[in-house]
This record gives sequence, structure tokens and C-alpha cells, in this order.
Amino acid sequence: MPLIERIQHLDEVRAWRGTIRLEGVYTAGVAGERWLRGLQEGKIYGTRCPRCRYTYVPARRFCERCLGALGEEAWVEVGPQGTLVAWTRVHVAPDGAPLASPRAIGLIRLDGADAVLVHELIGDREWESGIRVEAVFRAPPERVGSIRDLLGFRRL
Amino acid sequence: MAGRRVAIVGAGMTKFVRRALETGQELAWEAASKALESCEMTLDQIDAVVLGTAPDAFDGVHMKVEYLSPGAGAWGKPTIRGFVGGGTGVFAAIQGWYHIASGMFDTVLVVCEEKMSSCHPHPQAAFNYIFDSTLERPLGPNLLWIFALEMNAYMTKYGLTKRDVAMVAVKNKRNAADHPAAQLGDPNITVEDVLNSEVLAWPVQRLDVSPTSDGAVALVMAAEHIARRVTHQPVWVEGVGWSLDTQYWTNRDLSYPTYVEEAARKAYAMAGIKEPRKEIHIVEPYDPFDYKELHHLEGLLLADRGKAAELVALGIANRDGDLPVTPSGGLLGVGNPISAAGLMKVAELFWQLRGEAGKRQVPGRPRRGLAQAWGDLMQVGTVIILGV
Repeated sequence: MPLIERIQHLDEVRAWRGTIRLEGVYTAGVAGERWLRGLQEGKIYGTRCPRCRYTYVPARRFCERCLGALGEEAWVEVGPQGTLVAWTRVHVAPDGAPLASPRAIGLIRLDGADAVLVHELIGDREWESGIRVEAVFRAPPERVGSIRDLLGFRRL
Repeated sequence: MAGRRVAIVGAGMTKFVRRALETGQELAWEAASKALESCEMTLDQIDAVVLGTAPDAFDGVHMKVEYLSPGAGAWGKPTIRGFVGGGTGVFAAIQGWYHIASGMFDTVLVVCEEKMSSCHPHPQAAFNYIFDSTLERPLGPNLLWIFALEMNAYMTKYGLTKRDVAMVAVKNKRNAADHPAAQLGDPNITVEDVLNSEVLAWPVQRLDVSPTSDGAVALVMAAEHIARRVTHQPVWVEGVGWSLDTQYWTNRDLSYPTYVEEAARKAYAMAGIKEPRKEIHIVEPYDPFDYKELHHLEGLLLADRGKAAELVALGIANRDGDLPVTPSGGLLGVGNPISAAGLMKVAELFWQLRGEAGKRQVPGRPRRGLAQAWGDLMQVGTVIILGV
């Protein structure tokens, strides 16, 4: 008989509990730092690979398709308007608890970009793929150079 | 030699630093793009990717290879993760070899990356979870315990002094002063500096240990018919070997790395090497700790048991000695971004055997070199032999 059929409850056996305590302290990277500073200024940048004709958002320092460098000349402003590619409404938190108010999350292809950005959808609206949306930023004094400087996208 | 002939045709690396602004992806990209540039190849000429990286916890990204893949040129290509802990760097090159030797692929990009600065308070914390959860963890063990117990057992068995061992750290950190990518090169370091450094767990002191580092290294490997077109100086993989010891770390031979000998014997047999001390001209053994370089030299059969320290004391292990050991500066000097450090040793052989090692160049046109790494739960030996 497999073990799992014999032990119905954890307290039937002597268990040793352990937690893995680690904290991650991350850097945004060379391209990431600049991209976040752009958000702080209310601008969304991409980097365009001229060889692959593909514009990355968030801006990347290299093209994953050819490994070419995406330097100064590759930086282009994209958006702030774009098209909703896909959306979902989230009703439960990761721990399974119901959310007091459901959140809408979308994939947005900003005008001028090939890559797609994930972010919040703002407003109690009906969402559908293909609609036009626009970036909504925090007020300038509240921006800190974070993905949250962008509140999300609203329906146009 | 099993399978098709395989050569390394290009290599690139980032600087090894304590803390990089670059993301892990950006580090991987720097190394990968430099390796491709070094042999004037482009990503569309690469058939497959081997991505080596040590525990996910270091970068703080779960499924790290998938995360790193954009920087390693893996988009749209058959890609595999290499992972045998600290042994990964050399093992990734072995994986690159068998991808090509098997006939499956003609060209492989091998990339190893580590960004240990993400892991706080210290990457050591990730290692507290390698121990047995009910039998060892209640004792509050630390990874250093293993090394301190092993170093002490090794010194005791052969009557070695701390000074004998410290000379390895001095040699490697001085060698690293000539490496443009080094984190801890120091042309003026002395044995006294090592002996006066902070005691971590006796007999291990601060300068007996390699640092934690961020960095990446990449190689381009190719089948013979491609290699000969790409470069007039292919560096051939002549032998490989790897072997695992018991996970019960208390039960290993503390004074002798059997797993390294087993891996080395496989590699020597494949390379047709009968007398390694005469036929290996340059060696890059894994040196996360100074005593470990000595330990590994003995396991590689390049020194009698308990006698590796004499190679260092007599200058035989110097860059201009009869058996240059760790001319790169090693993990102790160049730095230790785990998997990238192992692959750096393979890259060092590539540069040395092509006469491209600059100020680090070993004189006398070395024709054959060996790189070795050590890892998993301090139990795996990985060995590669390169020749021109």
C-alpha cells in the first residue's frame, strides 16, 4: 500500500518543519534602469532591432533573435496608446482567498511595438480583445522609477 | 575518442564583479555575443544551446535557464540546462561536446551565468538547505563546515601547514592581477595577508576562500568540418570525464578526491594519455578554496598524494614553471560566479593553447591542457582535456 494511503493527516507522523529564508535583491539591468527612468518621465520606450525588424517593450539591451546589441540608436518611444491583445479578470488571490474587487489584467501591444506588455486594466469596463487602450501614469511627484509608475491602461 | 571530433572555436566572458548592474540575461548576452564575435559567427549559424547555471536561488529566479535563455541565444533553438552544481562550468562544455560528437548538431553555443549578488544576506544561505532536513539541519550547519573539516583532515594527514596551503591563494590572486576580467587580482598579496585574514571556520580564513561574484562566460563549439572553416586554430576536445561520489558527505575520503580521479582517468583514457604529468602542459583545477587546488591536483594524478603543495612551494606551478597551475588566476583571483567560473577555466585553456592569453600567456607553446571543476553536493568531478 502506498505511503499516502496510510498517512491521512500530517499530525499522524512526526514532521520537521523548515523554511527556506532567502531574500532577492535585484537590479533592473542596464536597459531596465533607463526604461524605468523613462516611466518616471511619463514615457514608454522600446528598442528596435533593425535587422530583425522587431521592437521590444520593455526596452532590451540586445535582440534575443540575433543577439545584436540594441544601443542608443535603437531606443524609440512607443505608445502611449495601444491595442488590447488579451485580457482576464482575476477573482482569487494566489492563496485562494476571494478578492474583494476583481482585478482586470491585460496584454497590451503599444503602438510602434511588436512585443507585448502585461499590466493592469483600469476601470469597471467590459474588456474585449482588439479594443484601443491608453496608458495611465501616476502623477509626476508620485513616480519613483517603477513599473507601478504606470497605473495601467484605460479603455479609449 | 568516441564520436566525431569537436573543437572550441570561440570564447567570450564578462568581467567578474561583486555586484553587476546588468541583469543575468544581460550578462549572458555579453558573454554569448563576445564568443560569437570572437569567431566571426552569427547566431543563425548555431544549431543548439547549452546553458549552464548553478542553483536558481543565487539569481533569485526560479527556472533560471528559461529566464536566461534570451541572452544566451536560445530563442527557437534546441536548448538544454547543464547543472551539476559547482561542476557545471566544465560539465556544460562536456555537454556541448556530446551534442556535437553524437552527430546531432554541428555547432553549439555554451553559456554559463551566475548572479550571486541577488542572493541576500549571502549565497551561503541557499546552501543551508542542502543538508538533511531532520538529521543535520537541527545542528545549524553551514557549507563552510564541510570545507573546514576536509581542509583540516587533509592538512593533518600529510603534515601540511597553513603556510603551505596559503601559497596557493597567493599564486592565484597574483596570476589574476594579469586578467582583465578579474575581481580579486592582487600583484602584491603575501602569505602573511592570507594568514592574518579573518577566521571563518578553522582552518579556513577569508583569503583561503574565493569571493561571490556576478559574471558569465560563453564558448562556441563546432564539429571538425565547421571548425576548420571558422578558424585556423581550433582547440580540440581530446577527453572528457565525470563521476559522482556519495551524497553522504561525512563518508567521503576527506583527504583525497576520489571523484576527481575517476573523472580524470576517463578523460585520460579518452585522450590516450598514459603519463599525465608529462602530457598535460597546463592545468586549471577547481580552486574555490586554496587547499582544494592541491586536493584536485592529486586527484588528477598530477601530484603524489600530499605532495601538491611542493609544486607550489618550488614554483613548478607558476606560469613559467614546468606545470603551470591556474594561470588564469582561478576562482580565488578571477572570481567565482559558480558555473561561469568553471567555464572560465575552459576558456582560459582555449586562449592559452592559441597563444592569445596576453600577459597571462604560459611560455613554451603549451599544446595540451586540462580543466576540472567540482560540485553537486561537493561530490562530483568534471574534467575536460583540450589540445591543439
